[in-house]
Amino acid sequence: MMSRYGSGVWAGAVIFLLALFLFVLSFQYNYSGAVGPGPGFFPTWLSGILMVLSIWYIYESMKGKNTSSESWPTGRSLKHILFIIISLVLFVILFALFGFLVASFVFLVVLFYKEYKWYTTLLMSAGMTVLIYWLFNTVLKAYLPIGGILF
Amino acid sequence: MDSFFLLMQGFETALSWSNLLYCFIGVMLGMVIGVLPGLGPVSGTALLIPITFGMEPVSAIIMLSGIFYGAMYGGTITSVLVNVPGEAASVITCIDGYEMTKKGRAGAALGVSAIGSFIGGIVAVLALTFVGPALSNFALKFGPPEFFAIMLLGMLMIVALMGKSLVRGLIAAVIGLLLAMVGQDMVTGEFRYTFGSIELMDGIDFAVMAMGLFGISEILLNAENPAKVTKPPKVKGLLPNRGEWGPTLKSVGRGTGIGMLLGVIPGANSIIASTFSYILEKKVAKDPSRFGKGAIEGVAGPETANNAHSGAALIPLFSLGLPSSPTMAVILGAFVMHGLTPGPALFTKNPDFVWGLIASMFIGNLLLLIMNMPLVGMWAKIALIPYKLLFPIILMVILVGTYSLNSSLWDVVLMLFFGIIGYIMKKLDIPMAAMIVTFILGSQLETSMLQSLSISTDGFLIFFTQPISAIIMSVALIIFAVSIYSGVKNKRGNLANDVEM
Repeated sequence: MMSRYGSGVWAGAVIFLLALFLFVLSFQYNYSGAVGPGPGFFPTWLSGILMVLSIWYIYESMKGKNTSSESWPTGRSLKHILFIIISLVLFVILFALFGFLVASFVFLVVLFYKEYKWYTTLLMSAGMTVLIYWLFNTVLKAYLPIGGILF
Repeated sequence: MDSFFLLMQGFETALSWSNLLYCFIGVMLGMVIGVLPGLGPVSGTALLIPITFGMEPVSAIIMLSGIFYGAMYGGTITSVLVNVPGEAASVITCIDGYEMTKKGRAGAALGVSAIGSFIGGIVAVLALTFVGPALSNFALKFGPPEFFAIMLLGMLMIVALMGKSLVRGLIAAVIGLLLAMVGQDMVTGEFRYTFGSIELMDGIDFAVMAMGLFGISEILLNAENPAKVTKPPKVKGLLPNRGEWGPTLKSVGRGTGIGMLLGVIPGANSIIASTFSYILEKKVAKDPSRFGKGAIEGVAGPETANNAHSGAALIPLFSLGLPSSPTMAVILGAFVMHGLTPGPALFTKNPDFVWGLIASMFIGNLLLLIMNMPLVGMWAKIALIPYKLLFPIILMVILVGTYSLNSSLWDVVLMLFFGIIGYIMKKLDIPMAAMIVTFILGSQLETSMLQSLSISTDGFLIFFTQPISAIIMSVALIIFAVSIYSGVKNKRGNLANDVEM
């Protein structure tokens, strides 16, 4: 399916479902208000238009017109991208559990580990973590928590 | 002459030690962002917004604008020296710039780029100085219908000019508007699309969205095909030969004109400006066959055009509150974050701010000329910083920056979500530019429509009975019709560069 129609059809379908969902939700808000249109006016029209556009998009993709020239990553580059995304998620989880210092250190170690020797990795990650912590806490006065849920 | 005295007062603001320092930091960071392939002005400004959070508004915007126009200078260096464009507007410079380097004339190529950029930049800021106040004076007479019409025109222009497919541009624009609906409705106070979550009640934070869409997605895209930078050659001599001065200065002049003209048009990004300039230079040249083989005009014209463009792009932002590109949308977001509303009232309400900023741009351009002429060799070395060292640090700055906005981990999660969405949009060739601009204008569009209707006696017809708004609306409709026609006839694609500038 992917190769026959291209990802445009799938994207169009997802956008259509999203638009439909928002369209249905928009009826909760009053369509008309004091001066005419109410809070529901824009959401209803916009999601309605989006539904029409997504059908047009699906049609265009099926015809193979104006298709995107970008290709989806495969093999090594796909792995690399997933690796980055997973480490980002890991950062968020660690941040919630243990606070900034641990999260940042582990995150940087994970990303540097493949490229540098282990002692360089550890030194760079620790140094960078402390530097960013210092920069944000003292220079920019944005408080970063050093503890999380677990300690 | 009024502008002149106000500008002098502006210099007083801009020349204070702290603002001078921020201007310097701004243009310096801009250079670095421009030099580094894989980090453009949009992501650069977006990821530095949180850092400006605790700063004075004027210093913050001075710094962010410095990053923006500084990046235009920096992008040239790697294009010329190693054939890797540092940012998208310099792609065209690679053609003749790199050829000049192969002939051992890298110095001359960089020299004329710096001089051209300086002239283009200064003339554009001069235009801002004199045209900006005039335009905003005119716009002060505008009521809600006119603003509604202008915003609609701006959005449609961006959709019409960006991306290969009209329908994808429209989809992006509508999604942007829908995202702007999230949160509390300004007029009735009703919560829309919040799904009962407290975090969404304030709506989606612009900075969070911009950092995800432009910062994270760019890192993911670079992970696929990292730019390979080879060791840059040594730069010798920065001035063109005696016989080349005439033609060079002429192309600088033409580049300035093109850049300024396209700069004020929403949706005409700086890559369109530099491409147009290149085409024009080739057309007017006595011997077009030299192009592609190291013609100095092919470097001077486009480089001037993209700098003139970046200065001129501030004119609609300052005087109408209309962002003409994603970078302008990010700067508009920063304005709002610091409690300033760009628009006609800006010049009268916050004169210190506007004139301080404009004055800082004269200073910034001068600083950049100095940085680019004698110190150019040093910048080239920055491009050699390995990407594997750089990208974890950039990610870290984005993550911590997002968190520091509201001390909320929810923002970080939302930012990462937008990062992945941005990546997918890029792959599907759905222009993010259209989405970010409509997102930032969304609530204003709705408010101005409701205000127009409340003063109107015959409903929606008010947009066509007021003369100014009627003209703008007609232009908008014509542009829309033309872009549908060209879409049907499949004539798009000549300008189909969805480069997020």
